[in-house]
Amino acid sequence: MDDLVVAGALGLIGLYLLAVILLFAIYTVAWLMYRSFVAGNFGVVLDGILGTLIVISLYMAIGFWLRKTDHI
Amino acid sequence: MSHVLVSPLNWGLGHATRDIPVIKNLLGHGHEVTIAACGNARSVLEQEFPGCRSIDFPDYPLSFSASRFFLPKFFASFPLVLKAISDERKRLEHILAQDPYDLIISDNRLGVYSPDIPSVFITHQLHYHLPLVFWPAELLAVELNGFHHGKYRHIIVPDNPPTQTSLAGKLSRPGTDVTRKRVFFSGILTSTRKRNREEDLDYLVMVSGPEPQRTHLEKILLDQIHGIEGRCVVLLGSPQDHSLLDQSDVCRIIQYASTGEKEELMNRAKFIVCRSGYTSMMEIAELGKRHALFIPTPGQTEQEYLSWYYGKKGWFHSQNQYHLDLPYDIRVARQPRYTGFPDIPKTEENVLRLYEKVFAQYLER
Repeated sequence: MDDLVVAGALGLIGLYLLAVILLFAIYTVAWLMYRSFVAGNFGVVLDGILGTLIVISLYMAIGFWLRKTDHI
Repeated sequence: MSHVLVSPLNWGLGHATRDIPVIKNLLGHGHEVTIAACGNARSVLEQEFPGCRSIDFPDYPLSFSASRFFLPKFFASFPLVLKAISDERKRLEHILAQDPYDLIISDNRLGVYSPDIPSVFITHQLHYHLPLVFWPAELLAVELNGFHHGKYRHIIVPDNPPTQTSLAGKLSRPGTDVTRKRVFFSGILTSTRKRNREEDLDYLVMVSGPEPQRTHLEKILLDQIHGIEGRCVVLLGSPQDHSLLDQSDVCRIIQYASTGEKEELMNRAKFIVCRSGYTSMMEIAELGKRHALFIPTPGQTEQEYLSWYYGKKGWFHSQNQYHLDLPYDIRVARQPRYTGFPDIPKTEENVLRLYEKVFAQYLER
């Protein structure tokens, strides 16, 4: 098979795999927080919210930095 | 005499029309050109070059979204595009087995290259612009582009080098060493020519691009067109119905105009309203038009980036079609802070340099 097609197929598999992992992570965190909330364990809920906000902020900050420095 | 295979992508007519001056130049040097294309791109080139052999060569499916959310649908269509590239590679092998070629020119067709025949790739996008949230994909695309560019002897970018006069901004900035080694900035390439015409038309409004967004823009513009003063032509760019809709002295609405008629209207226009597609930008730069309003196709990140970039450079004003107030936005676009594109080398000069610096080494041996 042509190497361009092989590289494209591998890239696609990687992209979709990443999407599945991301969705699974979102589901796991959401489920953990829901169970903690139902059990009245609000500390875990707050930690979950805080952790999620930190991860999203870091992710977006890296994006902003890359754009500001003309890397993307 | 050498034999060249020219294969443009059929996503709009931009790829085919920018290849017209290149093909004319090759024919002018006495070379034989075979066109491998499909759909409207093939029809345009067949009309322009009836003496050239033309091969039906299907390309890739592309689905445009009716909503602003073009990207998810675009990503979902990747497997189909990959399958089409695989088919394209097989068809190309068959074409190359039928006749000897000295050079292959691929205009944005990813699978059109050969390890045995010098191949060049024409693109104005060395770098894809995506919404910030997808920054890892934007980084990855730079590397993938580098891998793909390694298949070609040269990457021809129809833009000025990445300096103050670059029309494509970051889109034409090489991101990897593989690309940097191969890139040749040809300057703009367009089939539209500057004619010695009086600018007797106050406004030319061009509604173009993929459906269904073309129809959406048509409705938005026709609702607002009577709010502007002066002689105006609205070109709807829909070849299905060739009838003339309106023949009033002040505002004419035309369903469809040929390439020549469109060129004539653009030459006569003092002010142009159009999408911010790169082909239109090259046409405006070629004609030296200083006043225009751009309306990017929603969800098309390339057009959205170009609109933002031209605003930042102080060249042209743009407005999202959902927030368009035509009379107001035209007034803004006419403000002196918008200067139009800087003076840059034109197609005639660029295509001569392209031949000398790139093509001649493969065709005049």
